[in-house]
Amino acid sequence: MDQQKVVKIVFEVSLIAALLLVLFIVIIVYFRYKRNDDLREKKSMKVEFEKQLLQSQIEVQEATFSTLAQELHDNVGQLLSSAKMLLGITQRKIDVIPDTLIIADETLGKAINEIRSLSKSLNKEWLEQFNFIENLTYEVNRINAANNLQLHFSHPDILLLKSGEQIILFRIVQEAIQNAIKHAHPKNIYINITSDDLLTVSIINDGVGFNHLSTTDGMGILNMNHRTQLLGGSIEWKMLHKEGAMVVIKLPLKNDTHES
Amino acid sequence: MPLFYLVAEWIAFITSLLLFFKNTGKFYKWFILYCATVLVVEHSGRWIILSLHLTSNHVLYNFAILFFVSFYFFSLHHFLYSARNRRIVIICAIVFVSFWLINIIFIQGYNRFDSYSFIIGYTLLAICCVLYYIEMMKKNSIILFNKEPAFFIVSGYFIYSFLLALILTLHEYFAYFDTPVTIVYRKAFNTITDISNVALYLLLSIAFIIKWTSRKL
Repeated sequence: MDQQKVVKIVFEVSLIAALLLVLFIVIIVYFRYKRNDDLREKKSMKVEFEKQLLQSQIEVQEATFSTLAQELHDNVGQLLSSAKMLLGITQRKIDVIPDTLIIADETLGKAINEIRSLSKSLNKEWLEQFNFIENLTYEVNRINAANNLQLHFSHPDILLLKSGEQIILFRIVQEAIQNAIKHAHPKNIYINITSDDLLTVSIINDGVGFNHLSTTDGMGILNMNHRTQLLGGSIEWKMLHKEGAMVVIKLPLKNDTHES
Repeated sequence: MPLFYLVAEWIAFITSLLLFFKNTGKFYKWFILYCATVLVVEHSGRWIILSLHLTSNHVLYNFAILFFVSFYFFSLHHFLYSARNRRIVIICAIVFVSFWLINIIFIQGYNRFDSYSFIIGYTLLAICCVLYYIEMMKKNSIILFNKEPAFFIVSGYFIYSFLLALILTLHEYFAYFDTPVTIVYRKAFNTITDISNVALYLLLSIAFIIKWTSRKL
């Protein structure tokens, strides 16, 4: 074969091969970019869907809480009040009032107060009238009065969150407190709120701690996670070195949330 | 041109030293050894011709190809996720090593340039690179190329192996027809192999820099 022809073939074939290789890689990169865009779009749609689903779940839950609060106040509360009134009438008719009747009357009074407090803390409309700090202070006082444990609450003067967000945060903290009381049996619970670039809420208890696996299970934990996600923040459960556990909620603070 | 590919190999070796840093991944540290071996082999090859004045350095490259192609298969095996594709890479590596052994013992021997082993090895490597691309296209997570060193490494392998397999096949084809080898032909042949070498080592350098910049601090 002619030598010049051979060199020409070698060069032409190699050049075409090199161009095809580059083209092949460019096509791969182009289609991968397109796929990345599709995946991003799909992800954002999924996030949006989950957010809406979560929002509606929370709305339904809040509505249920409000109904429950109303029922407690209007129905059970009224029944207990009637019972207390009847006890009062009975007491007036008896010359020597037995101790048991006095204790029953006092217990009934406590029950009525408890029902009222519980009804208030469940009522969304009532919650909307106050800010998070007032609500939580009320909740802390309620628990301190009723249980053998002490809640310590430290907080800034105001909280830069919208009222809707404050309700969600309130529910998260409520759940964390209830979980601690139910599972860790602590003597003290410390709720600290700090606010700088992030709003950090830490709920520390000196109880028995928790099983690590349990943080991934259970409706309460899931709800806390979902609610925190809805606020665009993060939530973390930590075991403490000596004893007890800690829940840390971190939320981003936006400049347009000076509603509280 | 020969100097260009040597420069590219030195760049690859120097950038591979970045992989000594913490958190660049244990696996990537193998590339330091690879790049060092490439330099040793290349300089030894030149030394054999220029200083010892021997007529060929084929023996050195016939044995070096076993190490290099096996390393390419080993790294590709690491970059792939699918068990099926990984199995294919292992099979290709076994086929290559077996063929290399048969070729060096029974067919071309070790004194001649073992072109068949090179062709088979690089062809199988190019096929395995396509497996990586297919897998990458199918992946259901966002891939950022500026954080994907494996893509640059595999692209380097692909360009290098495809071009070399092609040029060596053409070379064998012309040899079959007893085409006389002239200086012009040799120059053309060397230019193409050098271009593929430069492409490989520069893409490896990019990959090493990406790996270094994206390490966890």
